[in-house]
Amino acid sequence: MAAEADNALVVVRDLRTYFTVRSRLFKKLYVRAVDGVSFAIRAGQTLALVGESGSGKTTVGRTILRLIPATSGQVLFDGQDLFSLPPAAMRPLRRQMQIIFQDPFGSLNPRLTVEGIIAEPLKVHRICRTRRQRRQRVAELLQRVGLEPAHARRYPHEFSGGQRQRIGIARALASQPKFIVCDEPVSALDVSIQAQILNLLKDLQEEFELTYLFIAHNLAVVEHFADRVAVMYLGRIVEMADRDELYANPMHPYTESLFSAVPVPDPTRRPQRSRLEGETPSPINPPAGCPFHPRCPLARMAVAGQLAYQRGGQPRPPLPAHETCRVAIGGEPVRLPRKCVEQVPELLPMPDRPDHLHACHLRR
Amino acid sequence: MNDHEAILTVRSLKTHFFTADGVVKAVDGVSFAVGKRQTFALVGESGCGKSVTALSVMRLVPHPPGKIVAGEITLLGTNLLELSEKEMRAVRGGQAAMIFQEPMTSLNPVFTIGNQIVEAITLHQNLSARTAKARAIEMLSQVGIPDPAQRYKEYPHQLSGGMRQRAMIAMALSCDPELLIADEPTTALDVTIQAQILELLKRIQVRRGLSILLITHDLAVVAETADVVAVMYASKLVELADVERLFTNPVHPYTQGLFRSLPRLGERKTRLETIPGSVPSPLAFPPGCKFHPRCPVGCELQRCRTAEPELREIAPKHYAACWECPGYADAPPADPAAEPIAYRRGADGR
Repeated sequence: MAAEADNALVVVRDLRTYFTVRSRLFKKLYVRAVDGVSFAIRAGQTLALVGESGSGKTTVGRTILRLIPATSGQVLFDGQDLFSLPPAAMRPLRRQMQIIFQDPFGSLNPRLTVEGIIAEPLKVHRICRTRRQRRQRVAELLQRVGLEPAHARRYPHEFSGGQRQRIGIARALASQPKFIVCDEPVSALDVSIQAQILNLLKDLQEEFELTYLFIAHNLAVVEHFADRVAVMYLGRIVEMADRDELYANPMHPYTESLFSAVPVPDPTRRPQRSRLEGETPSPINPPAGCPFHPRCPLARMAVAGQLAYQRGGQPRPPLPAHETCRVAIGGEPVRLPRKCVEQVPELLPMPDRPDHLHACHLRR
Repeated sequence: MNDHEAILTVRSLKTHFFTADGVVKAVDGVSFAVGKRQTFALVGESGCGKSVTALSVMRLVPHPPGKIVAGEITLLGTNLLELSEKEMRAVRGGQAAMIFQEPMTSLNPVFTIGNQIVEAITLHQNLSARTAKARAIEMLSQVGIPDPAQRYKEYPHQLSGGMRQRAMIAMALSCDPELLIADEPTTALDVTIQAQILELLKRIQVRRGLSILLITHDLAVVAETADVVAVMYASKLVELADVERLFTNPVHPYTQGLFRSLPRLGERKTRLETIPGSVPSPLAFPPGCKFHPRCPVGCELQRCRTAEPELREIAPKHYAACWECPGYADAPPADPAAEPIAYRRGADGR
């Protein structure tokens, strides 16, 4: 179980979301999009969920908000168990939890004016009862996100991508939420606009004491934005730590590979590349044991006796033969540590750093 | 081969779109030269005209509404704009090939991967069906696709995004082009796959002596792969230099703003610096320098608001279009298409 902070606004325990892809008479096939995820987000802070496509990060965000039904697990919001609440009791809580989507083109109803879009949550949650109040509130919100009140009468197609994202943010803010899931909020935007939106989200967080679940794949953006970072791979969290600790001291080989794959915007620097071979396996039929073992450079080093106890230290001796086994990866026979192939590693805190958790057998 | 030789020269290119709302000047007087075996990157934000420039080189601009209204595009000594459509078809896929951002939409879903590569090969080369197939399989294996004989028989949807992009590259290279135009080749891919594809392109370039025109919005990808960089803003080039110079000493306020607003690994600022405002609509470009409403230097200056600066050589082989940048006032008007900027990274890519 992940370390849970005392003042956590959102606590997620062993969350699982499976999608049925095919069902036969006696056998169902599932995509294990989220497969046992636990974390907590402190009030007023940002937890970033990082991973590549298919890692399940978006599904986690949507399952927490009950936009997708969970298969099992628990989500506590302000101490209340969301999944056991009846729909009527859920509604007032929905007001406090909002989402900002990646695609500013697909997430705004093209047939509503900007005022219609932002006023919708005000109506649904009965925040502003009269039209005049709503109009007033929409104007305030537009100004707060850097647009003009006059924009209220226009339609989404009249705006650029960055402006649309501001409209999406205004809509999310309308119900005065405590918690916002930001699902890749800047991935679809140009660099110069990205920075504007990130600054806006940061200002709003300070002003309204917002708590963010920030879903992203860009590690440079996350480093700038998050307090704590969780790295996902094939439906599981493989590493989680406070930002400074994770960026200074990544423990899981997948986290390391992600960092070294990030291109560096400096032509004079030669990055040390440890290029990751292969691709993410299908979540329908994930590998047994550690989900990362077919691509893991560390597992191969451990067998060859090249893995050090500490970074830059003396290498450990090669694993004895009985602790390894032969597996076929991409048609090639490879010898890997038996543990990695057979046992699913748990996400456990490091002995000397209880806030830094990782799920790698070889780094224990 | 001479390093100063250009493989592709684009001079005063203007590509306009005639729409119901007015004339969209998507490319409005762009000049540059790509050297042999060089990677030339055209960087800019969405809507700046970089993709239309690439499509113009291949003469693939949809017509109507688009039309190349002026300019000259010279590939290996031939002005492409004077060729007949039939002659142009021999160039496309022959001397010049193109890969796109989304390989799923640029591959035909109802034909196998092998079928499509063989089609490209037999269109340009007089080969028997059997030799063409053998060549297609060899191409697939060269771009690092495991089990190429099996993949040859599969359809695009059976491949992952990274594998599809590899198949596209295999197809593009199947007729030994001299120039590869890569339009955002890694934008749709995950970082670990992006790193694989960039490395593949680099390896192929070294082995085959290929020239690459890279279209991208990602400055980090540029820093890792390009030799020469042109920055495009609102249908024109605003700065052009070799990659090292451009990244260490950018002079145009737009280029500087792009670099400053880029979040970088290992750098933590409480706030990111931004470029205020947004890219102007090509239907309503501001008068004078098109960047002046967003420019920290020129927003109040009379000259920036009324007169548009042209590209000048402000230092040897460093071109910029900004009234206020150092060296601009004394520099004569320049023709960046006259000669490519001879800059090449070492064989290891640096």
